[in-house]
Order: sequence, then C-alpha cells, then structure tokens
Amino acid sequence: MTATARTNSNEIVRFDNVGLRYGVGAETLSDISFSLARGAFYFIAGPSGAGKTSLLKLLYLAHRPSRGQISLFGQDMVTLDRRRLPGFRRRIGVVFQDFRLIEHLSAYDNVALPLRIAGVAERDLAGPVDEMLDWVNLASRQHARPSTLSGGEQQRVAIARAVIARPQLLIADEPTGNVDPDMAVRLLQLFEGLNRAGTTVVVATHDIHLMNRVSGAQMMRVAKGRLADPTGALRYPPASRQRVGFES
Amino acid sequence: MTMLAMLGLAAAIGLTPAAGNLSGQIAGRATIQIIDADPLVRRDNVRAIRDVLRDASFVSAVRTVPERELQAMASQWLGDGILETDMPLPALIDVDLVETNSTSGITRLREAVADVTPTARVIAHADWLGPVATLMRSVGWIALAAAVALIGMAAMVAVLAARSALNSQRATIDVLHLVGATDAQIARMFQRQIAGDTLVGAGAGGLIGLALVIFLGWQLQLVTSALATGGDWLGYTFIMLIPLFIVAAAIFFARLAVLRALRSMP
Repeated sequence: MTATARTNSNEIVRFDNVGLRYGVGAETLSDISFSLARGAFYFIAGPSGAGKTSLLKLLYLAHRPSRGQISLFGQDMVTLDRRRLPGFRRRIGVVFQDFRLIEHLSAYDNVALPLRIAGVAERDLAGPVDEMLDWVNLASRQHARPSTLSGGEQQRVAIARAVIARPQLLIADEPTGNVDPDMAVRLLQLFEGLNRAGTTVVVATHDIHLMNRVSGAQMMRVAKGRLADPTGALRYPPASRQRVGFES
Repeated sequence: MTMLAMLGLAAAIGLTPAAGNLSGQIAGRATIQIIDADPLVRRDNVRAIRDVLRDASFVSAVRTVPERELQAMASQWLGDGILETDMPLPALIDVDLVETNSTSGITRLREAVADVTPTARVIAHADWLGPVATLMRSVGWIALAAAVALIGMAAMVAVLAARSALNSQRATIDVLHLVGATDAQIARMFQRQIAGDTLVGAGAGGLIGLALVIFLGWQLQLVTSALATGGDWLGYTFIMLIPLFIVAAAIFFARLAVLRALRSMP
C-alpha cells in the first residue's frame, strides 16, 4: 500500500507511512498511509486488537506517531508545538464506546464543557447547549448526572458534547458498542445528520450491519496494525471508492 | 499545621524582642556585694563605695539595698529563723551605669570599687542573665525556622495532594485535553480545588491558632510584663497572615506540580 501522491485541498487528514509504538514493544501500527476527504463518512473496521483505537488516537491527537507524517487540517501534527495542540483538538469531536462523561458534572455541564473550554461566556452557553440537548432528545434530563442516565442517554450526551463546538472532524470509537440495536440506528442517524451538515465523520466499528446502513460511506479495514485491502474491495459502496485516497 | 506555624511565629515575634529587652535592661546594671563579717567594717565599706560612685561619671544611679529587703530575700532561702540568728548578711549596692551597651562601664566600676574595698565583689547582671537572653533569642529563631518549615510542609502536602488528584482524575484530564483544554486551564481547575481545601483547613487552623496566640500572649504579659513586648500590631498582622501565606504557597506549588505533570502527557 502506498500513500496517495495527490495533495487535495479537499483533504482533511493525511497519514504518510505512520508507525506507532507504545514503549519499547513491537509497533502497534505500521506503515499506515491514507487520506480522508472533507465532508465524507468513513468506517474503520477490523477485529479487536487490530489497532483501530490506536489509529483513532492518532486522529484525535491523543498520541503522536513514532514515525511517519500526519497532517490534519493542512498542518503537520508531528512537529507541532504541544501548546498549539488544544486549538486543533477543538476542531475535532470524539465519541467513545465508554462515553467518558465527567461524572461530577450534569448532562448540561458535560455538553457545555467544550464551549466553556473555548472561552464562551456563561450567558451565551444556554442557547447552544439547550439546542444540542433537544437535538439528542435529552432536554428533560439536562440536570441528571451521568450515573443516573441509561447507556443510550449517556451516549447521546457524549455525542452532544462531541458536536456542540461544530467540529470539522467527528471521530467515534465503537459508539454503538454499549447501546441496544434501536439506539445504535438512532445514533447513526445523528452521525449522518452531522455529516450532511459538512462534518467529516470517522466511525470505528466491527458491526457490518451498521456499515451497511450508511449509503455513501467508505470503509477502511485495519488488521494486525496495518491498513488492509488497499484495493478497496471492502469499501462500501464501490461507487465511492475514489473518495478515499488509497492507491494500490 | 497552620496553627503550629502561627504559634511558631508568635514565639519568634514574642521572644526575640523580649530577649533584646532583657539584654538592654541587664547590660548596664551591676550589684556590688560587700561581704565583710564585721557589721561596722561592712557599713564603712558601703559608705566608701557610695562616696566614690556618687561622683563617678559612668554611673547613673546607686541604690543600697535596705537591710529589711536583704533579710526578706535571705529568709526565702533559709527560713524566717535567719532573722533571729547572728549570721552576717552581705551588704548589696545596685548600680545603674550610664552606658548600657558597653562593657567598659563594668570594667571602670570594678576598678573603682577595688580601689576602695578590694574585698567587695562586682556582679554584672549580664554575666548571669545574659545566657538566659541568648537562650530566649535562640528559641525565638528556632520557632521562626519551625514556622517557615511548617509553611513549607503545608506547600509540600498541597503538592502531594495535587499529584494524588492528578492520578485519580487522569480520566477527566484526558477528556479535558480531548475537548481542547490547555494545561493552564486544567491546572486552574486543580488550583481551585486545592485552594478550596486549603482555605478550609488553614481557616480553621488559623482561628484556633489566633485564639491560642492571644491567650498565650495575655498569659505571658501577666507573668513577665517587664519582658513581654507582645501586642504590637505588626506582629499580630504577620501572625494573621500565616493562613493566607499557607494557602498561597499551597496554590503556587500545586500549580507548578500540576503543570509539570501535564507537560509529560501527550
């Protein structure tokens, strides 16, 4: 697999021969090269332990690669000063399988967190936060602590938190892993709605049924720390293969 | 810790000037002891010494200790029966020197007394009370060092608390980083938590400490009013500032510890 040589102004993410090693062990990710188009919807598939979460960690800037180049929003992330990372992280929304809500904050405060971090004044918070809680059908639960919410409700709070700052890139790691099938479909509809609004969405999952529900989505497959199937045979649907910047 | 630091500072503030006061009072004072057994000779010697000292330029005051006072002093040690015996008591003359901060006055006094009555003894008060003043001064400095050490310890406790909170809140910190929080913003949250906790502790300790300082100061003044110089507003201001110093030190060092730990994170 080789990285695409094209440099596309429509490109939001670009990985070139990226490797990731934790400590002194073997590489968890090796020779990862791809690019993601702005406004597209991607699934990252692969068995447990394949490296999907590690790949996502690189995408949402929780780690830096051991080698290779990563470019996000046209900026080299490998050599970027650590003090500039928060500015780029604010352009990315992340949803986790285990939600990662802050337990001592209410649903409202969890959703408001990215705006508060970004310095939005308290008087300007209520509008967007209420709107977001409405959007995920949790307006009536805004004062509830995460521990009193169901798994589906927690996941919707996590999604609201991830998207309230209107991120350009939304990353979800097994977002439907802890919710029932009906809720999974509803979550996916939320992601599609965001995608239609222009957000690039990357969802890691091993739920093939979920992948089949999103028309126009493209699939990347990770196996044993490498991007597999670079010819795109597994990408769905075949008509949109060219949107992923892989070259065989 | 706040309470102990306040007591330490109070001791330092109280003892150091008291030691200086004591030194000032005793440095220029001496007692002449005339020990002749014959009361007539003793009386003549007392008169001769007084005559010499009356015109001496280095002497500011001379006072012969009355015999009743001597007997009262002696009876404290030897019992009231001393008054009914023929045991001779030495005559005592208290002398205040003009120069209180110089040993030259004592030297001149010794020479003048020796010329008139070679058997008389000149006892400089500084010779036997000086070590007490030095001890008080030393205890004052040790108390000050203890107060500073306690403030430092409070800061270190805050650092340990911050590190512990960092470890226990690691998941929250990761989330805050992911939503774009800067290290300074995260450190501020920990600072607020440490400040709140420390303020409660330092406030309670400060109130108890202040009550103890006021009580002990009052007790000290009752016992040694001549030595105690307590009650000056500057000293009390410093003592009352101790809780604030502790809170400020805790916040400052906790912030440093948190920022240092955050810098090591991705």
